[in-house]
Amino acid sequence: MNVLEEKKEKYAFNGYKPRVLTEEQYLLVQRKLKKYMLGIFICRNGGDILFSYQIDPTLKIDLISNFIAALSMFGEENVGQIKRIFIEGLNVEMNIVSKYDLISVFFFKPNVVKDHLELEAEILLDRFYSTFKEPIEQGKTNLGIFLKFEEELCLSVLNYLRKLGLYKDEK
Amino acid sequence: MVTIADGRYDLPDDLHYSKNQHVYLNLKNKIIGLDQIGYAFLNNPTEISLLVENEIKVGLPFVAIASEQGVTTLNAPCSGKIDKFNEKALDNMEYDTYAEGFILKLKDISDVSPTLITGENIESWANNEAKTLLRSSYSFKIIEIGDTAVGKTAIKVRFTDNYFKKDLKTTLGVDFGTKEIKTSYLSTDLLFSGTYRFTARMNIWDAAGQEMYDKIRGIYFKDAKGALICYDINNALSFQHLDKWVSDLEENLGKVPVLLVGNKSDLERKVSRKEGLDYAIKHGFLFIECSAKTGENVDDMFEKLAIEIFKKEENLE
Repeated sequence: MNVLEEKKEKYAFNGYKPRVLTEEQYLLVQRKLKKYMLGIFICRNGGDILFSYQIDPTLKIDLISNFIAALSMFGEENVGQIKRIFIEGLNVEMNIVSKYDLISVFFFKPNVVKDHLELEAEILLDRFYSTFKEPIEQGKTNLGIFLKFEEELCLSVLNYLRKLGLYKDEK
Repeated sequence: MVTIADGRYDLPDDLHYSKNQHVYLNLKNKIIGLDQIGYAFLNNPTEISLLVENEIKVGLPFVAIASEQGVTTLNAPCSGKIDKFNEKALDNMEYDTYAEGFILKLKDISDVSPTLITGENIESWANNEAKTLLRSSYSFKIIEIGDTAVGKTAIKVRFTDNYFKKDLKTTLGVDFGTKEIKTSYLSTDLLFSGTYRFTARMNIWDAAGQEMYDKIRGIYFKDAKGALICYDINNALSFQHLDKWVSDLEENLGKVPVLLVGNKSDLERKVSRKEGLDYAIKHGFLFIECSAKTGENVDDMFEKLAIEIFKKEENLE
């Protein structure tokens, strides 16, 4: 890996630099995300993506968000609010949580252990909502507003790794 | 070090900056470059070339940078003899703009521009610049409605995939398409008079036009930022039904930017352009005639609508 590539690794996601996490923690989170996941996004109930981190570039997350939003709307009108959906496919598994007029979608590689995941997904959505309550309620769709959630996402992943026993804080 | 906006941009406060171009001058190391916000404004610069030979003169162009947005020339923040032109500036600018990503190293420096700012003056200026920059990437849900067979799906397919399919099947419930566009809006706003360049991910929700979907169609309008109401200029009945679609929209979505679209401009006209335009003016809509078959005006209509939504979102009306 050349020097530039190393720098890009450290300044991952959308060029956002970690402020709270140490470089070591940040790199660990990145490695784990790349190993187990294909992508994450949070969208409005209407389908517009507000925040995303896409690892597998072949995922058409913009179309998927619209499809899931339509499914959620149809469900709400006809069978009641859909709070969780789990889709198990050949190459991807999706965990979908809906709360606060928002939908979070996690794309996993198949057969990944998903202990505590539903709880963590909900906590992440809580954090997203509390961090951006005002622009969410104002209906803002400027993605720049939501970019800083990257570090919150990393913190959540780190927390999840702690729960799974895959990460221990140095004493 | 001043950290700007959401933490993505750093501007060292011991450097000097030209406010209009984000060129920095490091007096200690005698180097000139583009600061982080300036780099972000350029949006993926691809080529850099030196415009002068041995020396630079304050206020005059010294380098040209090509990017996705075109070519920008930077004016020198001082005068001086050139020691080294950093040919690898672009390779390092994104992550090391203040060290390895500099553009010029000078042998000596004279005539520093009096308009450069430093120290405590940086933060408020840079914060304002960063806010402008953050208004750059949007996601807009657009709902597309109108009578069945007016060509809604054909418009969507022409826009997202740039082709025309003659025998499209009737849409069941709702269909989607998505495409990212880059556009700009020239503002005469009191606070910022200039060009806002932005990217908009247009998420098109093509709602079925058949009556059997009347009861469920409204649920798909949720969170839409704009609407296309379509009719067929070759079918007068589809124009006469516009009131129904307008009330459907107002009932389910409220007031959003709307573009009235007369499709099939390649066919014989049964609805005049004036009739369409008058209807749009009466309701405060934008208006365009297009042909999904030939592609005429299809991209333009989405750009027009994106700009209207952008203006509403950023309170620029």
